[in-house]
Amino acid sequence: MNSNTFFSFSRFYLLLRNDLLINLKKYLFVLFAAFIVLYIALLFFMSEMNYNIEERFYLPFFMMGLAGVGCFIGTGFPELTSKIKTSNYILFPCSVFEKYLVQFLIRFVVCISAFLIIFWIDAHLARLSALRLNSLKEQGVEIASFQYSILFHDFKTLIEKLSFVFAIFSYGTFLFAARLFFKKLALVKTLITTGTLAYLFICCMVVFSHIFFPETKGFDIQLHDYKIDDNLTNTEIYMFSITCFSWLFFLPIGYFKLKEKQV
Amino acid sequence: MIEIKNLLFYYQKKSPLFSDFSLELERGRIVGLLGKNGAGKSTLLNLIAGLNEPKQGQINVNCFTPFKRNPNYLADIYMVPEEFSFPQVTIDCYVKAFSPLYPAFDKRKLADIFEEFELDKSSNLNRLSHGQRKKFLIAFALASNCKVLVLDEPTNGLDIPSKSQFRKILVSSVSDEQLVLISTHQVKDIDTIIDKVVVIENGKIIYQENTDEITQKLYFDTVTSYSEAENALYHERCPMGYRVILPAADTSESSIDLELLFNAIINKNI
Repeated sequence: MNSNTFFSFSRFYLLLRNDLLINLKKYLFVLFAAFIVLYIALLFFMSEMNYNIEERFYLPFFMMGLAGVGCFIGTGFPELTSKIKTSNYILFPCSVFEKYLVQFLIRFVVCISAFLIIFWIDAHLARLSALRLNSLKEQGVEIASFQYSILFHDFKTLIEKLSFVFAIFSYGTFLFAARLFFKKLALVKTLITTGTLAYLFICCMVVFSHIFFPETKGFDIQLHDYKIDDNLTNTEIYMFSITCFSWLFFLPIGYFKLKEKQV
Repeated sequence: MIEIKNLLFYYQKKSPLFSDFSLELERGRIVGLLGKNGAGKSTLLNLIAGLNEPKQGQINVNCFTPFKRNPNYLADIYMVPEEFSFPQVTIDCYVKAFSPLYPAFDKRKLADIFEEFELDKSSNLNRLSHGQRKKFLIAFALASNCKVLVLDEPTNGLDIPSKSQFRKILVSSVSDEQLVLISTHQVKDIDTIIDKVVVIENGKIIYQENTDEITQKLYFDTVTSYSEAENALYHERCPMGYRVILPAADTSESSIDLELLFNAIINKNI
C-alpha cells in the first residue's frame, strides 16, 4: 500500500502509461494531421506569392497552429463528457493531483513541445519545397527562413516578451481549467465564456470611464496612461499583471473543480 | 467494513433521498441491496464508492471516507455500474492499461474467468454485445481482488447460461476478506448467492437480515389450495397454486424465494 496519497511517482507513471495505451493512436493521428495540414497550408500560400516572402509571413500560420493547440488543450479530460465516463474516471485509483498532472503534461508540455517542433520542421520543409517550384524559380522569389525569434520582433523590452509568452500560457490554462466546468461541448462553451467575459470587462471599463471621466461619450473607454518608471506605464503594468499571474489562479481552480467533481 | 451513520443526502433540498440513514456491513458477505425504482439503491452505491458527497453524516469504508477519494481507497473498491462505456481498444489492451492500477489484480484469475465466460482477449471491447461487455467488466472486477465490490444490476443483459455462470464464478471468486454489494431488480438471479438481504424504501432500511436467519424464521413453499395459503404470512398466486411464506417450523428449512420475500416486505406483510 502506498502511503503517499497526494503524489506517488509509480501511480503517476501507471496513469500516464494508461492514457498512452488508450489514446496513443489518437494523439499520433492529431500530430500527423497537424503536420500535414500546416505543411500544405504553408506550401500553398508560399506558391501563391509573387514577391519575396519575409519572416512575418509565418506569423499568421503560427497563430493558427497555436489556436489548434488551444483546441486540444480545451478538450482535455475527455472522460468527463458523460456521467458514465466521469464515474469511471473518478474511480481510477490515483490521486486527483496525479490525474490533473497527467492531463497537464499531455495537453500542455507534450502538445506545445510537439507543436513547436512540428511547426519548425513544416516551415523549413515548406520553404525548401517552395524553392524548388518552377513558378517561384522563374520569378526569382526569395523566401526567408523561419526562426522563432520572429515571434518577438514587435516586442522591445523583456517585460513585453514575457507578457506575450505568459498571455498565451495563461489563456491555455484558462481553456484547460474552464473545460472542467462544462460537460458537453466544453470548448465551444469556454469560447463563449471568453467572449462574454471580454464583453463584461469592456462594459465594466466603459462604466468606470463614465464614472471617473464624465466627458466620456457612448461606448468609449478612457485610458489615461502615466509612466511608472522609464519603461513602464500603468496600463502596461496592469496588462502584465493579468497575463503573468492569471494562470496562478486558473490552475488551482481547475484542480479544485476536479477534486469536487460529483456524478 | 462499511459503516454509514446518520446519512443525509439529496439532489433537491426539498426532497431528501436519505435522511438519518444508517447501515453497517461486514466483510466476507455478499449483500443483496433491494428496493423499488427510485428507492435510492444506485445513489447509495455512488455514495459508498465516493462518487457523491454526503450532505451530512458519515460514511466509512475500510477506514476511509469515500468522497476524499484516497488513491489507496480507490485501489480497493471496484464498481460495476449499470451502464458503462469503454475506449476503442481490445480486451487485452484494456487489461494492460488498467490492471496495474489495482495492486491485488490477479491475471490468472482473469484468464480463468475469461475461459468460463468464453471471452476472447483479442476482441475489441466496443464490438462486443452488451452482455459480453458486462461479463468482461464483471470478470475484471472479480480479478481486481478489491476488498469492496459494488455491482449495480450485474445480471442485466446477461443471457440465462451467463447468469448461472455469474453466480458460480462470484461464489468461487470472493474471499472472506471481501464484501460484495449487489443492487438489483432481478432478485431471482441472486437469491442463491447472497447471504444478507437489505431492502430500502424511500431512503430508509425497511428490512435487513442474514439469509440463514431468514430461513430459520420463514418457510417458503408452494401450495395448491387457497385454504392452505390464507393462513400464510404472505401469499401470491402462481400457475401451480400459491407461493407462500409461512413461519418456519423447528425442523424444516427451505430455500429463500427472494422475489416473494421482497414483495412481502414491500407490502408490509413481514
